[in-house]
Amino acid sequence: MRHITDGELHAYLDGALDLLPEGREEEIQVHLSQCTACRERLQDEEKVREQSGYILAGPDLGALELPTLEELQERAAAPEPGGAREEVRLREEERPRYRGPLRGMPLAWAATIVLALGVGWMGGEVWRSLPQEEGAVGVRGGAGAPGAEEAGAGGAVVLREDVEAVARPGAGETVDAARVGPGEASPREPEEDRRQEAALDAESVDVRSAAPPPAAAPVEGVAADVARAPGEEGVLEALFRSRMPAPTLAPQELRVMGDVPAPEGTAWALTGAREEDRFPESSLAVPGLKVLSVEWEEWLPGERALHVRQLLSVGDTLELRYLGMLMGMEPFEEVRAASKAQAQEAGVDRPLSPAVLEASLPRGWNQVEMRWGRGWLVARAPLPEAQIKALLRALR
Amino acid sequence: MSVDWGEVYRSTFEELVRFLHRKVWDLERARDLAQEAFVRALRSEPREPRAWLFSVAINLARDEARSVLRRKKHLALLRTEADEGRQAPPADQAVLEEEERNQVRRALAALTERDREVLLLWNAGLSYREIAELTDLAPGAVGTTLARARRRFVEAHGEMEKERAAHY
Repeated sequence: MRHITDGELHAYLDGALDLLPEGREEEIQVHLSQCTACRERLQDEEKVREQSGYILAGPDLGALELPTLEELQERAAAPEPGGAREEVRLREEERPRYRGPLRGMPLAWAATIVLALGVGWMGGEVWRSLPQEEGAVGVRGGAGAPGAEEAGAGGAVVLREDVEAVARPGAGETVDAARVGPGEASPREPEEDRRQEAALDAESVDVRSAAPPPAAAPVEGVAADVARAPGEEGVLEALFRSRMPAPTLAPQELRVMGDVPAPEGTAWALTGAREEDRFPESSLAVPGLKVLSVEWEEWLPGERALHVRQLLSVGDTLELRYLGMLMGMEPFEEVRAASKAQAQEAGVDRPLSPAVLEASLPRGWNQVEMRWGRGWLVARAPLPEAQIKALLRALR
Repeated sequence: MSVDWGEVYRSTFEELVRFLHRKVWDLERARDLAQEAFVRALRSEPREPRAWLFSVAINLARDEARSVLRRKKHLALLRTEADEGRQAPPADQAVLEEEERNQVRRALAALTERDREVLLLWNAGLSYREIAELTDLAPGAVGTTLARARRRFVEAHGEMEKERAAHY
């Protein structure tokens, strides 16, 4: 039997069998089983084919934002200005351009980022207002500073100012963040920040050791009651009050120590944090996706995760957790091991430890972990890893 | 015979964007051009929309390349490539991926235009016959051209990998 020609070999390899004469495919198979030289040629070509495909396949562009068929059909049905010939001659800047789902809203991206930023600020406001608005809960600086016990009774969030009040009972001059506007809350002096850092170092308030919170302490109620005269309310706050669901806090499970998001320049800057530890501004939520909630979660003692939930599509969310943002970070594996060990020792389920995060990954979901500043970003979504990575690239 | 545009869109549009991206190396432009091609196809209703779409895409990409040259954008591109050698080690995944993309781009640039076209069309899922139609090659010559293109591409990429390894 004659050897396989190059053309036949390639057609056979690429499945272009319609180009082979009738019966030739079977002959090639038989020949390959008998002829070492042709078999080696085929293997060699196969290897090159695989390599080439592999190189071309990666790095993937990730999930592409594409116009829908309906949009394309709509455009095709629209009358061509000046006819097809003229359209071909259109300059680049004149040519209609796809702008994705936010088409027609030139400032929508900017607005989305501002919304995302605003959530953080509002989140901070809500948490700040928790003890005060509930009356029976929490500690508020300058209000007699009832102390940690009362904070525990609130069973909720101990804010930076609150901790300071606990540490310095006479701190009547402490700014009550819930009572000042975005522009007013920020100008804290570095000296004050340092004092607060020191206070934080001295105090560690674990609300879980205290009495359970009153059963009827709905966060929604708190969110709807951020104390502020109508005239003092900012546009963003009003927007969020009307549009955003209340953060799904579980106050009795949450321990916040140290810094909270504060409107210092931007909503995400963290008061008292070292410069290098600050969150990259304007980049904690993926632009274009609605922010459902932003909340602090306990991760390890003294460490917190900022949890940002964004809507991907109906029923599906992108979960972003920023971990170890304010601490000197140990290698992730060590932290993971420590977290596991602590969970075992305490006999408690630590829902936010990375190990449990992984273990609780719902079916069909994927998790991507990446360095984020000095900490980590753990992203989870019901999407392939490549698509999650593509979304994360939009954060930068 | 009426065309099932839903099926054409599902099976072709994303591939068309990726194909064009490897031609113009600008995702937004690739999307624009793919959209342009698809809209033209919807208006023209060709009998073989898939091959037709890629044919228009090839022409649009060529026009684009010419207009880029006219605008002397290539100077910026060349500068970017020349700068690669002086870049600091990649700081994160995104930079690495960008570097890999550049490498693929340069390896493709090492091929002749026809070889490159055949390789990219095959990669976009077109058959030998469809590729033959689009490139004026005889169907029997597509396999050999494709094999040569693959080999050169892999070799060029390998050379670049070596350079990169030597650099770091």
